[in-house]
Amino acid sequence: MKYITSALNGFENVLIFKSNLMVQIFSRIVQVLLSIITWNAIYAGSNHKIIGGYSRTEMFGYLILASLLSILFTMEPVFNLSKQVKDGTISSWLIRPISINGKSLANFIGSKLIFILIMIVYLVVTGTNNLMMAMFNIVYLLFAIVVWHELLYLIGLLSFWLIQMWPLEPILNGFYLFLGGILFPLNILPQYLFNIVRFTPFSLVSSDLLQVVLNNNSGNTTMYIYIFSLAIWYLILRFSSIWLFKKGIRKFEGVGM
Amino acid sequence: MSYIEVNHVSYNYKVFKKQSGFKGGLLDLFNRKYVDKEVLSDVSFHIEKGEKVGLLGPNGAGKSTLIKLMTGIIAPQDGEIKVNNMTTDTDNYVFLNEIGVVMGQKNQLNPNLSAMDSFNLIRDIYKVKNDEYQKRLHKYLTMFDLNKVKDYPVRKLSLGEKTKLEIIASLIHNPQLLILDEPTLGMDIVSQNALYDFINQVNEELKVTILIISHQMRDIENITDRILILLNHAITFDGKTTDLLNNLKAEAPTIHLSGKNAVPLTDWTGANVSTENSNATISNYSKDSTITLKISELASLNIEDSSLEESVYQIFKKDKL
Amino acid sequence: MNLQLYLRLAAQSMKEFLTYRMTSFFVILFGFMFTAIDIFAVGIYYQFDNSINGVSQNDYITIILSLSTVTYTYLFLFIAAHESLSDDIIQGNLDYTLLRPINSFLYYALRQLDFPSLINLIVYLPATAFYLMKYHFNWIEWIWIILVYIVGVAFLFSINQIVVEFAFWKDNLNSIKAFPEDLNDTAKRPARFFPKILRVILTNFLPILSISNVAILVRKSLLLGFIPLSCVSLIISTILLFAISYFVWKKGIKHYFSAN
Repeated sequence: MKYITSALNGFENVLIFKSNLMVQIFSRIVQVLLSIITWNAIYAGSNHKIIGGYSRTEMFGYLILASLLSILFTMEPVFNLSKQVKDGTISSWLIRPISINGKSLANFIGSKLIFILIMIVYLVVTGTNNLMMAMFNIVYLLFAIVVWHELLYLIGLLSFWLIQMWPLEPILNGFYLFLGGILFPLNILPQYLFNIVRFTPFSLVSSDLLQVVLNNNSGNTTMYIYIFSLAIWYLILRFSSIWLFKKGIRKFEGVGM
Repeated sequence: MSYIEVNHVSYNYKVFKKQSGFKGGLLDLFNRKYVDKEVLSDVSFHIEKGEKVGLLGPNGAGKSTLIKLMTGIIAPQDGEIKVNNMTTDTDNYVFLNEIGVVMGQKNQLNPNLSAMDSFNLIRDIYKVKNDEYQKRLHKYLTMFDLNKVKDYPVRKLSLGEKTKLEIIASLIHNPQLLILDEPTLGMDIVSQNALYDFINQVNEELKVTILIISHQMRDIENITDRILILLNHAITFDGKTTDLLNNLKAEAPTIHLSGKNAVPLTDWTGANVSTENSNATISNYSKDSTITLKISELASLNIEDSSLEESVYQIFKKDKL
Repeated sequence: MNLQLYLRLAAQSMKEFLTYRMTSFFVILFGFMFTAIDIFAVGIYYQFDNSINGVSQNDYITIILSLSTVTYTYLFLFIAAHESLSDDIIQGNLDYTLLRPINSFLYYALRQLDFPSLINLIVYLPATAFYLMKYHFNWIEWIWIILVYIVGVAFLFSINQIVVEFAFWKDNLNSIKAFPEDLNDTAKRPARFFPKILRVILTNFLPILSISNVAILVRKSLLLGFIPLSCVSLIISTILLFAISYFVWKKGIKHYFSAN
């Protein structure tokens, strides 16, 4: 029940701070436009009509979809957690019967609720010829969100040690743009490189998810491998964050109390 | 001309009055209704050089606003404020050099560095001459017994130590007016006493004018000679501290005694005493009353304490009725 | 604000940097990784062709490095202030700043240096110079380039300053910081990639491209034969933005103190 309240708080927060939401969406639009401009120049100047297996329209379509998906994968959990550590309010949550991780996840999902629902509708609509696939994609999406949150939560725990968290923002952004396939679809990388990067959490939640959704009727083993990889990552991240949290709390100086 | 002149000062805040309901919220987007919230109304007082004045008032009375006006952070809508014949204005650096401010809840010391680092920075900001600076700092650090902690990162120090260092920081440039906003918040009694001695010494030796805002009776009793009470947007009391305290002491707090086996009182004059089993309650006494206790029988003694603010508020509430 | 005071502030920033080694290490590391990702992406774009729309891979890398140099100079000088302003406003930590006999705008902006960014800069500056030397600029062009570098830092400062000053009126508007970041991302692209209208806007009115694309633009649209139009636009818009940021600061401070 308390987690549902947290989720509702996250949702309400988005409605109240609509300006934040507008700015986020605007930022995503800028990103996709930049990627499209870049690729437009590449296609225009090139003799090839197909680059990396994508025609110009296919590339644009991919980039737009990737940018839309990226509205879900934002960095708030890192900075919400680090703020609580910095101003000491985390101490008051420690003594309450609620999991800080659970609360953070509920809050995050609540804040993304509208987009999650939009994505689910999109997946159902585009998957009408194969409802099983659509269901699978929805499960993948939801699991991806949980793993993404876990990754950011773990990074947020670094605030017990780092005095300034601001440098994390551009680097996380950079990783996400690259590994998440926002700058370009990852499968245009050399094969050996693609096989490594596609299993990073950034790729699994974004680029790989997109590939699975776009290749709707493939039903091949790749999808299962991705979900399995997500599960492994979840376990790694979860155990790491439990361990790091314990260490962090011990080091915690109660700054700001 | 007095050192500080506050003449017929008024100040209002513009507050946006929210209209209720969804429709009201929508209307607010286009046509905001602003309401003037009166905070200070025709406030006047003068303070001479070297005085030690306390400013009291319940929360929301306008004390913070008055301090902001006196430090030049905001300007009055009516009236004028002058310190040493200068209009209070943060663009006037001569004026800023004249004043020192200690804000109880705020920090001017960098928490990641030592106090000495912050002191050195302040010296550079105010362009204090080095030999003056060294002498003054050494004196203050010794008075407060802080020489051992001045080189530790400030965030590692206790609240009492931090507060004392904050006060020193405000005195480095030798201001002629020191304004203290709740300086003893969180301090233990020993530190408080050291602070009182320190401030009184600074006032005596350097003739620094002191203005202190506090809810603590001890601060007022031990530092101030004169008290201003801000109530309902105006000064309702301006007089000697001793006069106010005598007024208050007439309202004697009730004393509760409990004995081990019997009432621990043997005799009393000029007081109301009521007993029950081995307990006694003493009230309505004056400075001439006498009460004799049997110590061997005394289990506990409790004095009902009402804060200075409450007592003051009660007095003036009564006056108004 | 005088030199002695500034040196004192610089020395104290250095002390803080040396105290927080882990943070400093990560900041430096991330600074390199971030640009490495950009350059890697360029490698990907150029795996299909040697030239994209008349822009060579060298040009593109020069653009990224030029921007990094200016960006890290800005970060070194000003990021600490910009990151802390919104928190300082909410927690009321600006009070003392205003009561000091110094210009609050300058003091707040200059009061802390970010030394980890200096470490990144020590790598980017010579790397940028190395790439710029391939263009064989004459001494006038070099003067313009250096001027663009300095004014570019002031431009970044002004934009970011205006954005963070919003915190005087609206708290919790954290995502507005995305605007200068998006602008920065935009600048990483060659000006030639952009449609004409956008190119004109981004080189003349919000001339972020004039900073990153200086190596190419310094030889284009020359007034009187030696004054690059892009540089003039940059200087004018920077002066304007700086003035706006100062004006907004003054208004913001008033609002900060008159808020109940």
